Amino acid sequence: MQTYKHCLIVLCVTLVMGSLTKAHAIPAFSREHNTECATCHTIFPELNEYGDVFLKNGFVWAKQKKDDKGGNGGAKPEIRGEGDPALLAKLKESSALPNGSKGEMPTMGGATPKSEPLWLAGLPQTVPLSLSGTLNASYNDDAPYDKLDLSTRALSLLSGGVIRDKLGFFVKYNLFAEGAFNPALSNTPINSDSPYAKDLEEFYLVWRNTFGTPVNFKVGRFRPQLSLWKKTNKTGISDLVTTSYRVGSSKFTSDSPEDAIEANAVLFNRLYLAAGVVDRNGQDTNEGYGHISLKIGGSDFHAREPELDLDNESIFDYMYLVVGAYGYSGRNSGDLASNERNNFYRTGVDLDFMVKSLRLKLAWAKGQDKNPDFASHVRRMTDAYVAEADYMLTPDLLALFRYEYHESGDGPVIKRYIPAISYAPIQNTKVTCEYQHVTTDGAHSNLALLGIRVAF
Amino acid sequence: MRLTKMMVLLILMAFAATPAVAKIKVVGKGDKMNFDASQIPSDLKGAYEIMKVKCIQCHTMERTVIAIQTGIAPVTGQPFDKQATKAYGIKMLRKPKSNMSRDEVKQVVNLMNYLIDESAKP
Repeated sequence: MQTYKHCLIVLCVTLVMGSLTKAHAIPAFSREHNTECATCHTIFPELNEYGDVFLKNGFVWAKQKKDDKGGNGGAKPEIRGEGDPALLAKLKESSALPNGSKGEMPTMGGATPKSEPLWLAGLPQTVPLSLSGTLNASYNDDAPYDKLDLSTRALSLLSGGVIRDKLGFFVKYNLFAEGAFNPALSNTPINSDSPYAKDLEEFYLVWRNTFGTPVNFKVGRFRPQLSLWKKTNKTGISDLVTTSYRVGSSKFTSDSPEDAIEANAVLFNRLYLAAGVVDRNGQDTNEGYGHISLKIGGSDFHAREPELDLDNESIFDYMYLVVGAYGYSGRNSGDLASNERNNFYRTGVDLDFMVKSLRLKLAWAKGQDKNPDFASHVRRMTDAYVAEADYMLTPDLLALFRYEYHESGDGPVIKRYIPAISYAPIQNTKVTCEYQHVTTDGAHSNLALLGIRVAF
Repeated sequence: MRLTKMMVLLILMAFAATPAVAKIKVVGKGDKMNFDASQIPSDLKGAYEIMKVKCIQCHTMERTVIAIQTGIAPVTGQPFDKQATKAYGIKMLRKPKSNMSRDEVKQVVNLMNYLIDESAKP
């Protein structure tokens, strides 16, 4: 039992170390589009419906259909002259923003006139860089030492944008990510243990609407599209067990960044499909994944609002449901030279239900590892469940409660009860307080976390 | 004499027929920018008051003014027409904690449509 307790402490600390290094709100997008964080986030970095569309659409605002009428009754700038009509149309579109033809227009707060030379060069209008940092404090009454730990967890360089609406890009480079605390080494460990410390965590390109089709191709290092919620798409501190659990010595998790190629597309406005192949170092077999999700109610995956009757009240107008399913099949080993391979798969189903200010997230994941310790060839099956309820108390204050269940092979059954509250007094600054009550085969432990995250 | 009377009458009619407002004026600059309240018709004053209070919970009125004057939504660069006003109204209605009722959204959408029409006048 004592061993389990120690394991649990280590697990919790690792969980905190890992989760608190992730900060993915991208102020670079806010600068480029001159808009606030709340356009895409509930409390950052959790995405709202429109942030999800922006991500799916390769960092471009969803356009209206061609047959939709243009602004002010469909009157668009008349295009005259020789040259490339498409290019000219784009330039007219850019110059149609204020400070152009409207002589009396004061300086803009809402929109920024586009620089033609920058646009022609394919460059973003602003330098697409931002920083994100995390500080935190944790209290673990069961810890053998350092029960109260105040630490500077992470600093990341983030970049993202799109070139001429065709090529999206995203970068996350960890400048610093604090590793596990070891009093024998230092009170301020530097990049000592985090898997992505001082490293390129994500860098990918998205070729949008390839050859005029709805298909986007994504290439580079990124987290494969499996669960509905990317690792950073959350308001609490800890990660969901359904996507973050590990088995034996295998370092694989469903939300690990991979070097991969992915094709994804929105079909019929409400169906999202993604499939990809992964190439990890030393890999000698096919490895890939697939995802499908369907949205019912709310705005569609092009951010088009539903047709509502403004004269009649209906609770259904405030609801939406997204159902997603995924699968991943792969093989890994302890080191490149080893012949001891672990064939594994992961599969899962997620539900995201929203009604007014209440959001419910349900997730189920199942996995199998045939040789997770790279030696014994003992197969382990894993089941994990998550049920979470988020309630937005005010636009800057959100409370949540999560229950997690995790059972892996002959290992202990771990249950977590996690209440948390997240407050963003300024949209780019968030304070989160999270409490974890954990039972491991009947043994109890508790952990309190306080995290401050800022992005600028 | 008859001709003089006719001319006087015509001059008086010309003064009386002066257009009320060709275009809604904008007052203030930056985050203080807003439509000139004195030019909003009386039947839309209530909607104007709602817009003035509710919309600025999340963004300045400047954004609305720019969208209506240019016909382009400042953030997305997409057309801001009567179809868009309803879509934005629905978006704000569904937005958690937007604190806008259906009736308020309807009134504000009507006001924005009126302002779009006014803005389109030469």
